[in-house]
Amino acid sequence: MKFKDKNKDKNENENKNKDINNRVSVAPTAKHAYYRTTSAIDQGAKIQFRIGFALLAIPLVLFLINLFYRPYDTSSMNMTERFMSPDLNHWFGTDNYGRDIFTRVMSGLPLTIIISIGINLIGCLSGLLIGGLSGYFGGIVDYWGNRISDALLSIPAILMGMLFVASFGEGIRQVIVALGIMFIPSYMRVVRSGFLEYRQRNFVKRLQLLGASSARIIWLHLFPQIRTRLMSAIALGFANAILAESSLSFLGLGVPLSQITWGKMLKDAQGFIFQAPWSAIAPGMMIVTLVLGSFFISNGLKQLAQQRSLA
Amino acid sequence: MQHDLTKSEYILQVEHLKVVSAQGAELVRDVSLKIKPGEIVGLVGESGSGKSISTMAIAGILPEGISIAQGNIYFNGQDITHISTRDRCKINGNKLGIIYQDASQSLNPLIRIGKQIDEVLKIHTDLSPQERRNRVYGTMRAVNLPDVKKLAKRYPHELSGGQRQRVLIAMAIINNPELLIADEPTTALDVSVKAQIIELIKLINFSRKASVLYISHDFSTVKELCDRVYVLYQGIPVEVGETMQITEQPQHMYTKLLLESIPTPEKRGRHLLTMKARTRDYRGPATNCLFADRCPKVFERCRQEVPDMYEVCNGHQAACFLFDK
Amino acid sequence: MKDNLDNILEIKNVYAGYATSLRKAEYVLAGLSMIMKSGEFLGIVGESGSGKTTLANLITGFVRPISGEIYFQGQEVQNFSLRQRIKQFNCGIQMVFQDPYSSFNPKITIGKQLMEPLEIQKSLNDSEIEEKARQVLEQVGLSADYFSRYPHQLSGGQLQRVALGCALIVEPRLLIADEPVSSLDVSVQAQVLDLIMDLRKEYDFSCLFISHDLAVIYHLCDTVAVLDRGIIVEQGNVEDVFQNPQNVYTKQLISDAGYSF
Repeated sequence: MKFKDKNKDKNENENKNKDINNRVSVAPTAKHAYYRTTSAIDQGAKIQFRIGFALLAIPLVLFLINLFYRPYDTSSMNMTERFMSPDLNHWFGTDNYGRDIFTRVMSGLPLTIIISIGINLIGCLSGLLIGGLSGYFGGIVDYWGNRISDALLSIPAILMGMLFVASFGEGIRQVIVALGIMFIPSYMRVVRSGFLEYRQRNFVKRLQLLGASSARIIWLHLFPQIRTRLMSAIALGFANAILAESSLSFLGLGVPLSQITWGKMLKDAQGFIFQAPWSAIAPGMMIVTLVLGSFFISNGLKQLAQQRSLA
Repeated sequence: MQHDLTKSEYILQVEHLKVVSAQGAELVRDVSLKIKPGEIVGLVGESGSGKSISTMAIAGILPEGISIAQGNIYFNGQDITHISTRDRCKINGNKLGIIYQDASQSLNPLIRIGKQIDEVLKIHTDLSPQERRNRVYGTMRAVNLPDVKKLAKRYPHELSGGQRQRVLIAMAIINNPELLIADEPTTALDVSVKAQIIELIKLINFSRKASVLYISHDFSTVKELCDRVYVLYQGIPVEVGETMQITEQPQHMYTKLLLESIPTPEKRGRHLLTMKARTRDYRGPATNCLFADRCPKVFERCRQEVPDMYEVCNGHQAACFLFDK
Repeated sequence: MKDNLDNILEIKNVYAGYATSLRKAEYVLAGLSMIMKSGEFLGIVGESGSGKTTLANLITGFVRPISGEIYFQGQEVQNFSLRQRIKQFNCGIQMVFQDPYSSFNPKITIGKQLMEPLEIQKSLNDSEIEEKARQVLEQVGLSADYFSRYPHQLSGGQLQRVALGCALIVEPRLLIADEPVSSLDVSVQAQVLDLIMDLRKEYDFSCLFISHDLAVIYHLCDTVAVLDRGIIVEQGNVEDVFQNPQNVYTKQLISDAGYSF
């Protein structure tokens, strides 16, 4: 330090001072970032996003390739090529009917995603409605909202799936609706707790005194507060929906025979798991990648939400 | 050594204390203060003045990421600036009693209050359970808690705010501390309870010969209680003196501003403030008088140098160039 | 209709509280009666638990009385819901709260939140609304660049000033201020008190000023009502009550405060 150029030292000091002021006191202009962006929590969230999107990119790329090029037909059987271990011709090997697993994994993606999105759409929209109303109005509305949620929580997802399949027959729609209903309570809880927290703030009271409608308060003032939290819940719900659909398909209650999802592929591989482990590993790994990616993104969003509620 | 000489003279001596946050913000810039045995010293300032942070530094309970950058703290002649946690535990709760601001958060909600007061004795003394119990009851009576045997079996939420504050005071004084730090003990309390707590602190000071460091933003209680007052502004004491000197003849413009902010019967229906409103706090190193921007008597020198403490008269000091002779 | 229109607010023998079981109720306000004249600043003094906040909520309509009558501008309102009162009196009652930070939506700029009351009222067009909001922002002593800032970028005192602006922008008849300065620093409190005095000259409103600080009430208010355990024990001119208190509780309160009025 002693030998340092004096001027340089002074400059550094000045820069440091400016820095300190910017960080500690109130931001001088509105152009300044709304949230402090350089904190440790933000860094953590960024890393989580990166890992999450990288993981999600793998199945996505496979899907895009699938649109233009499939090395083999997804359903035509080839008895001479049963249980082939992975090689250059069949990257992920073949299954008990001699079908190329790589092709099947690629083409299984869209349906898996569509089902997952459908489930979350039903769960999220109903959860928003029920949770929002119980959180905002409280009292008797909250009581019945909670009873609905309790009732749904008491039914196992598999049972609900069986019920729907038994009464309406097999089909993608039944799976989506059955699982979508099962997803309502988790969304409802997120929305309700967020609304409860912010409803007690004075600004809601202030707006009520001004005659603002409930719809206005909910939509313009309460909903934005929980947006990040909700996104996190959606990412998590996405992962859970894939898992739920897989387990339902695994039990044979899921999508019809002609359709391919990863859960169904796992089920098909079940009987030959020691003969041809690759036939289970490939769809299994795909599920893990997608779920893990969603988890990471959800976690990152959760951290951001926490950070913002502190700001 | 100089500090051995001061040993008998001051209970607490803080020299050029500087506390910074992890980002380098200067929360306390240069605080020096001395407390004589038996004295009640007030530390007055608004939020952001560093009064609470200074106290935390003295008590060794600075929050994570905030640390002492410079200066020394001597307690009874012993340097306690950077002592180990183990040594700190021998001082806090024993020779140094602390009363916190929020009584409801400073007590464990799941433990009966008698046991919580007893815990302090358990840590610092070798008394038998019987002796301890007697002393707990004795101290609870000393802080004017009613019906102590019943009250000792209660839980914190069953007590009123004033009673909880008294329990905290009992915990702080049970080991007959030489110094009692009271960090805004009356902020959350009603007017009548506030007056009682102030009386109680006065009584403890008188009967137990404990010095008191009283931290507050409220001049009315300081006037009641303190012998001497330090006025803090943005981490620097701007004026020191006896309470009468400060409240009757404030010299530093900031002290004047604080005093004129208090509504009094004479000012009824008139504007209170004559000085500029507070702007955002500056947290970098001081290069000039920090009050220069708001001071009506500002002149050239105020914008160029940092003022020292200058003697006004009889130990009354102010950090203002007007008194640099 | 009530005959006396000079009184903006009249409360008669009001009981309010909450049910502890089916048959029993815990009364926070137990037979409270008071009168508030038009244009006056009425201070409500009381310790914690005396029912100050419940009284405020009762007048705004957040809380309904169990029994008793409330007249606002001569009209009986105790059976009106919150929305009915707002409609009837055109946002005639506004409120400023103790905690300035929770009085604002953290995700919306100060300017938008100032404009919102007028947007809800729908009596002006967009450019008029913005103009008026900017004018109010200046009135409460903040420069124009605060218009596009977010609440967390302002200090507590500044937010409290905006809160006053937000309440007065709809030109209410009655402003209820629930401990608006007790969470602020001394000098900031002085600024807000000064501002309230300035605003009183510019807007025509009555104010129910709730505080536990007698000095603040004495400084700002014309009349004072002392609230003790759910009833008003003394009401009158600030000078009369503070200099010559009649009630035992009031006497105690004044002597505890340590002021000589």
